[in-house]
Amino acid sequence: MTETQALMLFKCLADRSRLQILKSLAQEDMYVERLAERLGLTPPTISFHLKKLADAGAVKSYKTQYYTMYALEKSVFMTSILELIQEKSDDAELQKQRDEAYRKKVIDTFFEYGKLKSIPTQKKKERIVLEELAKAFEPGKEYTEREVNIILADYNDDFCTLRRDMIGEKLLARDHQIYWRTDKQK
Amino acid sequence: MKEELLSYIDERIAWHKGEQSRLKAEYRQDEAAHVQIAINVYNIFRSTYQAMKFDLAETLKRFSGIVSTWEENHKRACEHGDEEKRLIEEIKIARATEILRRAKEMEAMS
Repeated sequence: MTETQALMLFKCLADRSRLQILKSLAQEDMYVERLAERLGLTPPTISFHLKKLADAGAVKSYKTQYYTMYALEKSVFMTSILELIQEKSDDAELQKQRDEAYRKKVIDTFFEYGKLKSIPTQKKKERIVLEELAKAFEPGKEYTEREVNIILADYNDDFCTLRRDMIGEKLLARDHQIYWRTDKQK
Repeated sequence: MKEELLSYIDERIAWHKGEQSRLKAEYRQDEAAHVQIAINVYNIFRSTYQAMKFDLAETLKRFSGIVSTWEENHKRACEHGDEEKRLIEEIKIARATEILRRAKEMEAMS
């Protein structure tokens, strides 16, 4: 189910009469007049709701000798809400592009000729800067504190803050003065 | 008679507003919107009646003209299988028929 289909379905379900229609159809397939009688609504109102439900993919119809019967589209209701929210968003790609553009802008602002001009005060920007610095460390390789300091000092004089913040952001891990790069960076 | 008819229209508007509130409270938004259509019909009649300086015969003539447009719309909606439009036009025609019937009854009694 696409995001748009899910939105249509939820909007359609947010109506007590339509929910009552679905409950009736969950018991058995029915025609308009029967549903109208059961729910105390007029047949045109039932037809109106059924059209909405059909457009949202919640019900289907089929013709018998005398009536058009309506039935629940069970497959739609098999999808769990968790599955829906875990599905990739229709505009996920667009969001990714926006994130990348923002990232590039931050890097261009704070780095100049390979040097870090200043440490961003905004957390989100600092994270991007630190992720960029983490690329200077080889994955799987262990570094002494002195080696870490030398690498970071190449970017900015305040290497102590950078080292500490990279540990805080879990971009570097530390154990007994030995440092290594984690896989938490983008 | 004009006051009696206007009072009847006001009563019907009040009743429909109550019905609309009930439907909204029951999370039946679309049906509440349909009730609003009925309220609008009463208001259209009321405005037409007032614009005609309380001449009922002229009001009914003008109002019937509006209703015939709705009947045309209803016919077209049926032809195209447009359930939503069909229902809306049916609501409008039903309320208009009620008003016209009531007005004629009052006219006959006066």
